Amino acid sequence: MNETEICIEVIYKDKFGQLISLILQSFRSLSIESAEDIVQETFAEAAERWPKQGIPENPSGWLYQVCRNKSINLLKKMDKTTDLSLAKAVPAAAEEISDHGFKDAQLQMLIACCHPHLTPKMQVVLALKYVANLKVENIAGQLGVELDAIEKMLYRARQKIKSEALILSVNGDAYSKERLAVIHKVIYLIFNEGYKQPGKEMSRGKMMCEDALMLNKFLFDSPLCNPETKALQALMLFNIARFDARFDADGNAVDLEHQDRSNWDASLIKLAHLLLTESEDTFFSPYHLEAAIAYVHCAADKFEDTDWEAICRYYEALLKVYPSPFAEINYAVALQYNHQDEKALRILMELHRNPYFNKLPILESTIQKYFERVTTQHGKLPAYEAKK
Amino acid sequence: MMIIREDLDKMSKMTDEERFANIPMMLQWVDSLIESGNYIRGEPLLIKGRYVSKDQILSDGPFIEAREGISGYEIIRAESLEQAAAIAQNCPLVQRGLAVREVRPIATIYGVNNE
Repeated sequence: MNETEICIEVIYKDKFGQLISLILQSFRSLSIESAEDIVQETFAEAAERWPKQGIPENPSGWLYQVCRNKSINLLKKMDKTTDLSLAKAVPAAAEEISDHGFKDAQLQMLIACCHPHLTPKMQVVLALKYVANLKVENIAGQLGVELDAIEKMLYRARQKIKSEALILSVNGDAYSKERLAVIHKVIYLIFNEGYKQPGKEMSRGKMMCEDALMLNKFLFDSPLCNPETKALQALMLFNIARFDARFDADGNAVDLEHQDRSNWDASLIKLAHLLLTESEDTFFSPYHLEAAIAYVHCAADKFEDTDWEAICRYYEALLKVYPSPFAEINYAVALQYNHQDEKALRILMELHRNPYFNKLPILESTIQKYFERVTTQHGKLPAYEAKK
Repeated sequence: MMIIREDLDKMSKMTDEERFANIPMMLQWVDSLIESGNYIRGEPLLIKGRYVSKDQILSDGPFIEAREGISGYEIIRAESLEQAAAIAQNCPLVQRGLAVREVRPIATIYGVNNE
């Protein structure tokens, strides 16, 4: 792949969703599908023209301008005059579209996707697809469902938007509190998708995490900000502080025990801790509890100093407010470090017997590791197991 | 890469003692791979779930413990996919018909995501 192709690929991954957002925010009568087509065609045009003419000075601006022109042409064909008069107000010059403009459009699109007429799950799927530009298979992985289910949900969401003429752009009253919970969830999942990228996708992963942080910062600075917004920001900051330390120089994963803790970003951890303190509320949301767990890890100078008892307590609280197999598996791992093997095994086996969960790869490997560890540690079966 | 697909049905019918008996064999096998220079490392797998809930949006999250604490597959160095398959074939769990190992080459794929 040559330099131009790499450049286009990077911009594509970063800006595809943002360009769709920008167009939909500017031209309200366009459907999601047409906006998607327009952006796709624009990238195809870039792939053809940039190698010959060179990469424009402001590549995103160039892309935006081409998208804008294509949108206007399409609207002319559709005879949507209201939108065309609106188009005059839309910045035409490439220079006028700053990075801030892109991010702003992305947040608006996120808020728009969280339309209360759609089910919460549809909102999440729609936003992950069009705001974060996630692949359908990755969305499926995040939500623990089959790929098909996501395809169908996207199809139904688009149908519903069309049939009910839901407008995917936002005005003042869309900034409502009721959309906030799903918006938080989407940001959390964008962050998670970035965070779990393997070493070789590290820079792309970090970009997604930073995207999520920035989107949440917009909320943070808006009147919408609530304690959960702050707790979510703290949670993401605790994790991004450890982002690079999770890989060695060759991009191989390094487990928690062997990470070089001096490579954890102390200033980010400090900021996260401050936010977590500020976020205190009468009710602990999952974000509060997950941030608290992340904090306990960050607060330990050495792996051996980790306060596993506190981590276990937070997991117990988390499972009460938001039961989830994903959290349970992690709780079971924490229990093992807290010398509660029996309880850990019980939880893992319970999940193992559950037809929904027993195929989770992380569950299988956690169980396998459990047996390997207890056998190595004790040299034989632990007494309580043999009795059964 | 060798992914473990245990036969959970058979595993569940075994007594715990029988199940535990596999572990030292597994460890021996891994040791032998290290000696022969084929073993690279075991890594945590990405969490992938299959649970659907009506009201709550169940999802994965940036949890630390399971992902950064344990391993779920082994990365080995092999001359060819055939050699890798032969190594996987020697896994005690496979030999005893308790697990299936999926062997996959690790590739770096370049290209534009296009959906």
